[in-house]
Amino acid sequence: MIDCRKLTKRYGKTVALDGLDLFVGQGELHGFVGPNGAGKTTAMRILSTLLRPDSGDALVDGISVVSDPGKVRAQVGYMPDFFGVYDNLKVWEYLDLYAGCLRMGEKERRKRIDELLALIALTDKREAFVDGLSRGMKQRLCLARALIHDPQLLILDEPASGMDPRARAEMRDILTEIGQMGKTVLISSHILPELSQMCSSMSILERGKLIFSGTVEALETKMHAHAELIVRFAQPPEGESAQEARETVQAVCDALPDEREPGVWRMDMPESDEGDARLLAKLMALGLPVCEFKREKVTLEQVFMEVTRE
Amino acid sequence: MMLNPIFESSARRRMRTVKTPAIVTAYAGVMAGLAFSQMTPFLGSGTTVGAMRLGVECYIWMTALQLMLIILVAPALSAVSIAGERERQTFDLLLVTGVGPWSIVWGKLMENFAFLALLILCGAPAMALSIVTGGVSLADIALTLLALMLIAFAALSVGMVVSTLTRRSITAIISAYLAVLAIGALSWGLAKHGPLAARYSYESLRQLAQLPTWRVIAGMPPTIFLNPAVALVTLLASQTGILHTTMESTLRLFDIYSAFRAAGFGQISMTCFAAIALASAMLAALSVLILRAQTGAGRARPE
Repeated sequence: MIDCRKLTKRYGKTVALDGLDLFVGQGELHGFVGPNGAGKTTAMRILSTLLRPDSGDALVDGISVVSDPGKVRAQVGYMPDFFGVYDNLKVWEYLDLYAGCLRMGEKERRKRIDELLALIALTDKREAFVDGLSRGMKQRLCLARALIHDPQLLILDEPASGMDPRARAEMRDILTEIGQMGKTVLISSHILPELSQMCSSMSILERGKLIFSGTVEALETKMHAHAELIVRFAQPPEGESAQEARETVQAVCDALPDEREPGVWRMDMPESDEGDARLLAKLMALGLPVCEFKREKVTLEQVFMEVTRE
Repeated sequence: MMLNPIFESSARRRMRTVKTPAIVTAYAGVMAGLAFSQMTPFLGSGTTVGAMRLGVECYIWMTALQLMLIILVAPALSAVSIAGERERQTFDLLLVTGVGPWSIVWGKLMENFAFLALLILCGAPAMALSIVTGGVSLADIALTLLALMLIAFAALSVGMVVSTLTRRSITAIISAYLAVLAIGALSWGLAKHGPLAARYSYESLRQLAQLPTWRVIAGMPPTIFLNPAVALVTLLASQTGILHTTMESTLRLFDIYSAFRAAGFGQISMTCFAAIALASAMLAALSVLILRAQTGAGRARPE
């Protein structure tokens, strides 16, 4: 559905996108993660035809955003990271404005607006003024706006930012429902765990470059490979025994332990039960007071911090 | 064409604010106040020559007042139309619907114009009082109202161009007033000084009367036709015949005045309105072109 090829965009000297290659299949719920300023919004605006790339191209359903933006717009529903609502306009009128701009017929519009209001659970707010809605409701209304022409691809830029947990959960339910309709969804966030719960695949973007792209399982596998081995001693080993212990660790896992806090050693050692057992036996044989010996799964948050660190 | 979705929603939003009826009331109130203060001395004295003269003067004053109010309101109205969408961050949302720059500019211009036309029509009853005293016909008033609406449209077009070039409402409003002021001053100033200025000698002025109208008009400094005040003053002079002294002395444009008289005030005002209409259309088209260039909607498609 999305096929970005060497997408590059510069703002003056700043490189927002640096040869981005991204592929998202039909019907996927794809999470797009990266710290602020990584280029997520730029990529999304290019896909929505609001920005033109300096070089490279992006195809949406096989149509180029550079050479045929008009056709791409018909396929894409875009929801930016701000509300963009008018004052003194009612909920149904707000949707009607965009439906009118899309040249939908009057009957079709009315039917579509009713359907969408039911989807976002705002049917009872049909006649309410947009500026009087709560943040979560406004966000849902903006989602409905992006869906008004029944696009195949939905691009959502940080839809959960600034919302309370309840509003987030509601948004997640709606997105899951949209995913079940067979639509492709590209959703960005700077919070990785939030996306990993609902997305089928993810990409991590950092300084305009893709540093990971694949299924959530692949990301988790990647994380497990990095799962640290943590050994805690009742008393920090000192002197000769400490030296001996360090050498033992180096012999087994080919790296010196990382001792950020006294008495707690962290080792970046490939995960293997035999290896772990061998190391534990050797440490015990040295007579060290090991009181904790465990593998700690790095959280998605830590992975994110790790991969996006300079 | 006129009822495009942008027109519709903008009009709805405008008519829902408290500001709108307040402006309409104030506008009608100012017009009525002026009419009342001008006409009171002759109330109950019947139709006399004095009352007639006063009625005609009142009509001229009210037209001038309407012009001033339009120049005061119009630039700000259209200046916020695109800049306001940008500020509210709704502009991108309109663009992704694939709605073209033409629909956006046309919808916004027509909505602003409809509001100004409403204001101008609200001033009509006060102007119509002159019919009672005589000296002004209903057709005269209708023509003047149309002329005011054309000027309103022109001022809106200027604001629209400014709006397409600005990101913030406040910048847009200030720039639009400056632009309208500059057009008014330059169209006048350039006609008096500089390379475009009228260069009549005493002899040539005497010969003007023998020349055909189009030659007289063609020989005039072209910028003068873009000045809305000149357009209205010549229109009123052709209707009432009492503005000549004003033009001769107050406006200090003796040579151009003579040329005006040779060509006929009606002809001059019609030329002005044609020029203003053409300029407005060009400004509206310019706004569309600017938006098109900015949004890339007119990008060439490889085919």
